[in-house]
Amino acid sequence: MTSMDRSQLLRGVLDAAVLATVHRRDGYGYDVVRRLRGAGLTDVGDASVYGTLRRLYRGGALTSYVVPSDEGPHRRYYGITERGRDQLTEARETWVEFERALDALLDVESIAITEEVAT
Amino acid sequence: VTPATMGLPAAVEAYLKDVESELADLAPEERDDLLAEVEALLVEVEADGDEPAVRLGPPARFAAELRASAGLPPALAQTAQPAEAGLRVALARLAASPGWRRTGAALRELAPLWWVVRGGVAAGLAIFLTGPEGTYADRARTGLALAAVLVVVSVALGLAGRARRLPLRPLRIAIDLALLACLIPVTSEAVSVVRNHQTIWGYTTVTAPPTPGVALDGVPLQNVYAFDRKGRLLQDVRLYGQDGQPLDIGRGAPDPNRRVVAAADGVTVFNSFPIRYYDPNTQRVAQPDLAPAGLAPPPLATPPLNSTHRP
Repeated sequence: MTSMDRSQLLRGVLDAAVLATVHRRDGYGYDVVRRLRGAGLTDVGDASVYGTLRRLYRGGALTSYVVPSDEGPHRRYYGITERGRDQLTEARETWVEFERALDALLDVESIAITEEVAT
Repeated sequence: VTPATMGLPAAVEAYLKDVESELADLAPEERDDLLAEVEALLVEVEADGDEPAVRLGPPARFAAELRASAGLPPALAQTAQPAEAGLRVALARLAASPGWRRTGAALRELAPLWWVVRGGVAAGLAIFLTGPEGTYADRARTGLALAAVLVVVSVALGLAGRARRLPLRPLRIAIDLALLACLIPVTSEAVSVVRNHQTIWGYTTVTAPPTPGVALDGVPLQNVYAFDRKGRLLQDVRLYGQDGQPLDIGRGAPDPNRRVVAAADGVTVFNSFPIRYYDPNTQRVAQPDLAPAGLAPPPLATPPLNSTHRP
């Protein structure tokens, strides 16, 4: 899969990924980026994560608070809200259904069988 | 940019400035929140030992991605010249500000008033530009009739425009601006024309200038003759008004042949009647008893007011 494809895919699930990350533990922007990358989403864009955090915050799925930092600017931490948790549950259900459907479609053995039947 | 940006590495500061200009059209609160986050990110990137532009890509692309993922509209005028872009961004920001929106809403409510005014201005322009033909009253009637028609047309156009049923919006805006520019000249011209003619609704009010001196029904008097109750002409009668003001005649430009009448204090008086004239080059009044031809009032029949003090 090319990186373009991955970033396209990521766009659709970034909300869920960010919500899940913050659900585990509150985090500031850069921290969320690092944790997403650490979880395997290596080509997640900094700007996408920051923008997504901002949008989820504006939509009421996240809350935020500022923690002063001795070195550099203050860090704005994000935490999940009740609404964010509902949104995450919904996203998880959607994802599981989606994954199941795609697994079935992409299953190599079943593709082979289908092709055999067709010929 | 917050005070914390002071002392930032040049690369971070430059990157932040570029992102800021890409977000210039956003509402100040939204923009400042985003920029604070970007600033924090840049500091982290810098601390990791990365160049912002290498790690994050060009500022414009970074800003575009940030806007898209934050659910914000794409930036305006990406390809415009910097000065023009600055102007457009400033205008867009102004248009998006709550103050401007409130002003715009208020202006829209007042628009019907403007529709009436512009009809009047158009009528005034038509009248003044066709020149002073016909009498003032005719022009005033024509102007008022034209204004009535144009106001109706203008209001109809305004309503149609509001319902978005009219093409050529830029042309209509240009005409509106032109009429607005004519508002003051047309109004002042109309006021001065009306003031000079004192004519309203077709009839003229003549305001005569006050007659100098003593006058009867507006006609200046040259002389006054006083007769006593027996019908005898009196000489050197001094006349005063209700406020004690002398009823002077000819004080401004005394006739050189006028008999000079002086009071005991030596002051010449001009309210002593009848006025008599010397014969030319003499100090003599030839006919001291002269009265206007045929003037001989009969004696009074009514008894005197105070008969006990009759002289």
